[in-house]
Amino acid sequence: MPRKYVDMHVLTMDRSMASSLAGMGYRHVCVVGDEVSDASNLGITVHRKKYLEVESRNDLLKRLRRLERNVLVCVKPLTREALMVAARDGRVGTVMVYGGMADVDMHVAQVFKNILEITVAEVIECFNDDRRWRSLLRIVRAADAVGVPTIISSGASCEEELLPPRQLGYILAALKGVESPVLDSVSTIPLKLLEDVCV
Amino acid sequence: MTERLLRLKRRYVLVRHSGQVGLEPVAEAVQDVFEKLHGRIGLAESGFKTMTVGGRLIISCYKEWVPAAVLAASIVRRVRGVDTVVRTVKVSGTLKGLRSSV
Repeated sequence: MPRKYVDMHVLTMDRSMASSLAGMGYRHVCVVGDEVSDASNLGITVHRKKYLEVESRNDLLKRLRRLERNVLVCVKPLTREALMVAARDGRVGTVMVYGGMADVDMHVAQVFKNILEITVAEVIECFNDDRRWRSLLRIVRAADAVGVPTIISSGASCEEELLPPRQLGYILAALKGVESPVLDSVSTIPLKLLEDVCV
Repeated sequence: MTERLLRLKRRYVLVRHSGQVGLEPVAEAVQDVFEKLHGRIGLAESGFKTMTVGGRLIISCYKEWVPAAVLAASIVRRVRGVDTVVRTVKVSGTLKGLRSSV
C-alpha cells in the first residue's frame, strides 16, 4: 500500500496550493491560518491546527484550557519551563523546534511524550545565523539520540514554498545525519497523531 | 597484496526550480550553500557536481551525501535577486534512470 503523506504545517491554503499538494502526493494537510479552501475533491483532507507561542507554564495551561477538545495543538516554547510542560502535556500535539530553543537535555528527554516538529521555513531562517543553526542541529540530533519522534513540514505560506514529501524526508535525514530519507516523519508519525487527535 | 579500493556509489538528483533564472546561477547557488554547510573538504569528499541534461539541472554526489545535497538545494531561496525554490524531482543511481523524468 502506498504511503499517505502529510504536510503538518502550512500557513494558509488556497486552490493552487491544494492542487500542488495533491500533485506531490499529499493526502492530509494541517493549516494554521484562517484562510482555508476545501480540497476534498482533490483527495486532500484539511485539518485545522492551533499554533501557540508560550512563555511560561501558566501561560500554556491557561491557553490550553480555553481550547476545544480534538484540536491539534502545536506549541512553540519560548522558555525551558514552557518546553518542559509542552513536552509532556497530553493536549499538546507537537512541539515546534526553532533555533535558540532550550536544549533537549536528559531532564527534558525523560518527560518528553509528545512529538517534535520542525519546518523547512525555520531551517532556512536558522541557516543564516550560526548560533541558531548550531542550536537547531543540536536539538534535532539530541532528540534522535533519545528516541523522541520528529516530524518535518514545509511551513509554506505560498504554493512555491511547498516541497515534495521525499525532499522533506531527505532534509530531516541531513539534519539527523542519516543516509536515507526519513519518510516516517512525513507519513506514519503525523498520520498516527492525526488519528489520535481526531478520535 | 595491496588492499582493494571500493568504488563509491554515485547518485543523481534531478531538480526543478521556480523563478525566471538560468540553470547555471541556480547550480552555483546550490554549490555555495553546500560549501557553507560542509566546507571545501566536504565538497571534495562528497564528489559534488552539477550538470545540465536536456535543459534540466542535475546534482550528482556520492550516495551518503544525497541528504546533504538535497538540504543545500532546499535552502536556496534567492538567486541573483530572484525568488527561487528548488524542488527535487527524482533521485537515481544512473543518468539513464532520470531520462523518463527529464
